[in-house]
This record gives sequence, C-alpha cells and structure tokens, in this order.
Amino acid sequence: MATTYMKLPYEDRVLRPDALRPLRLSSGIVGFTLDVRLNYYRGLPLSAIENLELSVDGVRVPDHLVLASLREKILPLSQVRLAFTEHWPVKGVLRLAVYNGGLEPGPHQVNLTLHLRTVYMQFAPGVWGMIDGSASRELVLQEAA
Amino acid sequence: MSSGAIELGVSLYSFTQRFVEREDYHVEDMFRTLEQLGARQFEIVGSQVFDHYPRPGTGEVDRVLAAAAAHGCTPFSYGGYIDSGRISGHIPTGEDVVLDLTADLMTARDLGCRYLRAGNVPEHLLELTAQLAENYGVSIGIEVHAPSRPSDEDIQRLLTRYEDIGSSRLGFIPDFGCFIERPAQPAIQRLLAMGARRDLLDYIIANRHSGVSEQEMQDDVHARGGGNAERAAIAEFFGFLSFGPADLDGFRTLLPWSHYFHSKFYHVGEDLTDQQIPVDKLLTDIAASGFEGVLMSEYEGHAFHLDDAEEQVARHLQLERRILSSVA
Repeated sequence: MATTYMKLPYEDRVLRPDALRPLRLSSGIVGFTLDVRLNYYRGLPLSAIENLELSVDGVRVPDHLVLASLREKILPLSQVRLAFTEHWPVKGVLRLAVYNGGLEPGPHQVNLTLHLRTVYMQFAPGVWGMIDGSASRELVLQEAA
Repeated sequence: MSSGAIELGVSLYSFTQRFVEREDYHVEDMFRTLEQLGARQFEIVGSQVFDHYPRPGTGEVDRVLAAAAAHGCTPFSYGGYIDSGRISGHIPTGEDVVLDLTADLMTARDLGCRYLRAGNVPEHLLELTAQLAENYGVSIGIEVHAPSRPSDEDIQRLLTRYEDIGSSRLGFIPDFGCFIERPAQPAIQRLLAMGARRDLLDYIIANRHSGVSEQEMQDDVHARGGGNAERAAIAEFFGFLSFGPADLDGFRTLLPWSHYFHSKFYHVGEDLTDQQIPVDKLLTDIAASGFEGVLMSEYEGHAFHLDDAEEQVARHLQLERRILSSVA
C-alpha cells in the first residue's frame, strides 16, 4: 500500500522570497502575512489540507492566531478542512494572516509543514495518497502590501 | 498534424513545469508552441489550468477557447478527475463519482471536446456512466496508467464489462507510461543529484521485480543506509515510473476499445529515439489495428525538472511521425 508522501520538485515556489510581509491596519502593525503556494502539478480543494503548522525563528505559531484566505474567502485554520468546495489553484496563493503583534524587520527563518491529501488517490477506505508541500526558507520581511 | 488516419496531438500537461513555476506563463504560451510545432489537437487538464474546479467560470473557458483559436488549435479531450476524497473524513460513495463525472462532462462539453479522460469508475456505475456520456455528447475514456498493465485482472475485467455494455461512449485511453522498460537516464540523474547512492539505486532497480512489496523494499533499503532520495526512488519505481517488460499482448487486447492514446514519454534523445518506451512497437500495433484517431503526446519529464518540454515535445512528434511513415 503506497502511503509515501509525494514531493514534487517545486519546493522553491512554496515560500517565495517576497512571501513575508507586515500586517498593517489603521492601528499599526498587528502581525504578518505569509503567502503559500502549492508544490504540486494541479490545484486541490482547500479541504485536502490535513496538516498545516507554521514556525517562525523556531517558535511554533499558535493555530488560533492564524486566518487563512483564498481569494475572497477567509477561514480559521480549524475550518480549512471543511472547505471542500474551495479550489486552491496551482498558481494561486493561500495567504496566512498571523495576528501575533508583528515581526522585527529583517530576516526570519520560516518553517512550514504542509501535508495534503491526494483527493483522487484512495488506496483503501480512508487511506489516501499524501503530498508533502512543506518548505523551509529564510525570508526577509518585506514592505507591507 | 496528420500521418494518414492518425493525427498527432499534444497534451498541455506537457508544459507543467513552466505553468507551475512561472507567473507569466499561461495557456496562450502553450498554444503558441503548439502552432510552431504544427500540432492542432490538444488535451487540457481542468484541475491544472482553471482557477475554479470542478466547474470553471465562463470567462476561464472562453479564455482557453480564444487562445486556442488564435493559434489554430482545437480542443480534443478534457483531462478530468474523480476527486472523491474532497470531503475530509468522508468515505466516498457513488454519488461523489457521479457528481465529478457530471461536472467534468459539462466542462468538456463547454470546451467542445469529443472525449473526457476520467479517473477510475466503479464497475457498477459503468452503465450509468455511458448514459451520462450520451446525455452530454462527450465520450468517456478510462485511462490505463502505470503501475497498471493492460493484462492486469481489473483492466481485463473492465474490458469485458465494456463488451457486455456495448456502448461506443465508453473506452480506454492507454497511457504509454505503462510500457516503460527501464528507468530513464534523467530520472537516475535526478535521484543521484538528490543524494541517492548509486549502489542502492542499482539494487532497487535490480530487485524491483523480485516479488517484494514496496514497503518491504523501503524497509530493506532503509536498513542498508538509504535515506530520503532512495525512499523517493522506490516510491517512483513502484508507482508512476514503474518499469518492466512491455505488456504488448495485453495492449493489443485494448485496441478495439481505445478512444485515443496518451503517448506518454520521459526523454527522447537527439537521435530521436526513446530508450524507455517501445514506441515503435506500440505505434506499429496501433496502425495495424486500423485505428483512426489521435495520438496525444504527453511529456512527463518535468518530473526531472529540466525545463525542456518544448524541445522534447518537438522531438517526440518527429519520432512518432517517422515511425508512422514507416508503417503506413
């Protein structure tokens, strides 16, 4: 039974060099945003995300501080698994908004664990192929968008 | 591009690497390449090119049609999926299959495609599938893809079901990746670049058909010191890059029920030969069967990350043309 995590050679595009930006509101900087892209050859429903964990500079970001947005839709991480009608296109960006008060200017080590279900590849009832969309990269905090 | 009654088309999937990696690369660029190559018929994979799937917006379909027309290209087939694992924790039912088939048939119809390439359809839904295809005026082909082989019991059972149902709306789309006889050199080079040990790759290849399961091979190679690169090699060689003696006898049994062919390839050399797939034998059998239709070239060497699809597709079309002219 093949349960190996498939990892395609597009890891460099998951976290692009300009992916990390301050989240600035009228009251000032309240956190940061991280743009995430797929390491796959096709798009997937958002509900295919089985595990998404984010660490910055070695510190795990609590899930409850994160809102995920795709196009006009916005969801807490805990509800992403329910978004089965939302297609994350292979050229599309999943933006994570992290309300942690902000990051210092300069470089930050970002580690993203991202595991997705291969929604068309079922090996046994409830056993699906898996995609490893994880990436780690040192990113410099950009100007606010 | 036509060689007698057999026309050569190109799957846009061939250009996956640029499409995924470059923001400024889209279907317009692919059709420009097809025009330069003299290819007219094409296959498009909806879940890859559309922002909305399984039902793209009207504007998305119109963009594809306008771009194709601008370069003299014609939609031939639509690559669909049965994404029955879309709902977390849900065990798929026939309802999920029918929903995805219907959505893809709608899009194939909107594009003007003659064929939908579908994922696996459970046997008990095949008659309904034929009726759905009739309703939408789009025929459905189930792909026979590596690691499956045409002689496999489930494929032969499907053939029998086709014969029993007797609908011309149902058929096969044999993918030439089923007939890889040996690993492609770029595949080996990529695994070595990932850090795989040459001796362990040789061991995996030599013992691929020794009767061990994928998991047993993973455990064995791990115990011999293998790491992530060797783990990837085993997953590929037991999966979509599975290899072995080409099942040509089995292939011939599928020919009467083949809608068209995915002429899958991984590397064509400067001398216009494919060292992995016996494309000459496959095309000879297809021509001998009296088949009239499309050979859809599909490059998957982007798995080796060489950004060489345009050159490779051009070589593959030349290779196919040469073979077909010799068997005409």
